[in-house]
Amino acid sequence: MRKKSSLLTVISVVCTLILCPLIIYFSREFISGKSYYLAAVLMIICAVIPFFVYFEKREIKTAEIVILAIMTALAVASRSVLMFLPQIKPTAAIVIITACAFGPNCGFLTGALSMFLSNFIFGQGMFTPFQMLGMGLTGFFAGLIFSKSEKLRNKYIISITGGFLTFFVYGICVDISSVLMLTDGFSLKNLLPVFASGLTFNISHCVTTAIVLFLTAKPMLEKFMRLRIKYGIFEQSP
Amino acid sequence: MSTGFRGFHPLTGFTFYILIFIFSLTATHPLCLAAVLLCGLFYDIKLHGKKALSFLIKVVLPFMLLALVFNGIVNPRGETQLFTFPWGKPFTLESAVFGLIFSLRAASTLIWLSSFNEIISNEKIIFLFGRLSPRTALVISMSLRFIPLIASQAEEINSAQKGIGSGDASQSFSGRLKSGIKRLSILVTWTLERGIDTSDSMTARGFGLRKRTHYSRYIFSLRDAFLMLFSVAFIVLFILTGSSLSCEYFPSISIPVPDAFSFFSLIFFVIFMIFPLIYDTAEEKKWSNF
Repeated sequence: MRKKSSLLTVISVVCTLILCPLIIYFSREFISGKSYYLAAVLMIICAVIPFFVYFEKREIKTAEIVILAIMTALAVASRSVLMFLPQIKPTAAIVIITACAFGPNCGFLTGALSMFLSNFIFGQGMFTPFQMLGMGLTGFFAGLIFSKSEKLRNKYIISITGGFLTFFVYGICVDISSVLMLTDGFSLKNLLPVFASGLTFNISHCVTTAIVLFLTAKPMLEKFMRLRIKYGIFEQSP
Repeated sequence: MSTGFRGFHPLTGFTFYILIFIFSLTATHPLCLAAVLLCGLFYDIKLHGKKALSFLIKVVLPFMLLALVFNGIVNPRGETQLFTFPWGKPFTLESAVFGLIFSLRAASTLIWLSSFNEIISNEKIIFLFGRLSPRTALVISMSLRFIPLIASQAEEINSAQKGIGSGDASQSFSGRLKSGIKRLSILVTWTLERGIDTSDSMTARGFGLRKRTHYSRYIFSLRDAFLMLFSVAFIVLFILTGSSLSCEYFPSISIPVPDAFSFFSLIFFVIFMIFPLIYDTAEEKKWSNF
């Protein structure tokens, strides 16, 4: 176990401290066009690698794989049960609740894979890597905050934090991708008009996520925690 | 049907598209951009017919317009001032030209993505990722099976709830919301149960005891090797021509006229990018008897 975690540390260090600066250097010096979008996508790939390596290398129970697959599918398909309420998208809420119950790693993978899969259905676009990172980080932070402490897991704190995370983490990731697609060079001045135009969408996404979390966090967490204890899954996940 | 360019090995096809995306995202010379845009457009029209044109008008052109306007407004760099905005910022010729170049870049990427989604099917993506990360590929393919299953269960739940009058259109928004949450909760319970069933059944069949084996029906054949070689030549020429085909837009516009070598490589780029179209057309010709 210890050997594997040290391998993981090496991979994370290589990705963040060596590969990312190299990408920046190469895209400045060698590629004439200086595409910030391309550099950002490459850096996202670097950032995501450690999560998948960890998932690949650690010992895992069958139920954990199935639960991960099912939560991803649920995050994508849950929209169909709420067809009659088109303004509510429960994807982010389900990712956050999964992260609360099963830990930050599971949260990251559920978020990233659910975005990847929903783009499977509609066709991959230029947004895909940014959406994956945004939703993955939303799940990761939610897991980091809530998965360890029992006390914090009440519906008020979860819904407020969840809304906050969808607004800032997911919203800003997607807005940054629009800036990178629209112009070269990235600055706060360029971000502001895009952020302003996406504000209504972001606010509605944030508010609906908070509402869904407020109404479902307690019953769903009960179900998930029961599952986690009964089958002993995700016990050692950090 | 996997005919024509679709029939290539996933690795070859994927490499081809990655190179095209890198090219279209980093090109600055108008000739390069025109080449990548037109080749992509022709191939998209060949694949999608009329749908490609409506995609062009409905998605690509508005996006180009947005990039054009955005660059004109936020970029105050450049020497030649055309006029000043009412809020005091200058509008420069350079930023307008650069906006045009940038919108061409974005448009060609969008158009090539459209054919990417057609050629590199989901099955191929899973095949490629399965080699790198087998567990992730397993999770993806399991989720892909669960999505329609969950959707059909959701339909059943919806009709049952509709039958007992919960969440009618006549109810207030909060009533409908409550019904929606109830449905979501039912769906989650059902899905978790189903998941545990699946995992028990997988364990009973010996999942995780030994390494899984893969089956794939893709064969790396001579034409793949040929296209790979072609791709390597593309990379080499792309790096060699780097500076002679790059343009500066700020502070003033300088577009170099291609010399003999870069002109030759430009022709090579065009042949590389038009390759799928030529391959598909040639195959169609070969197999039609009339």
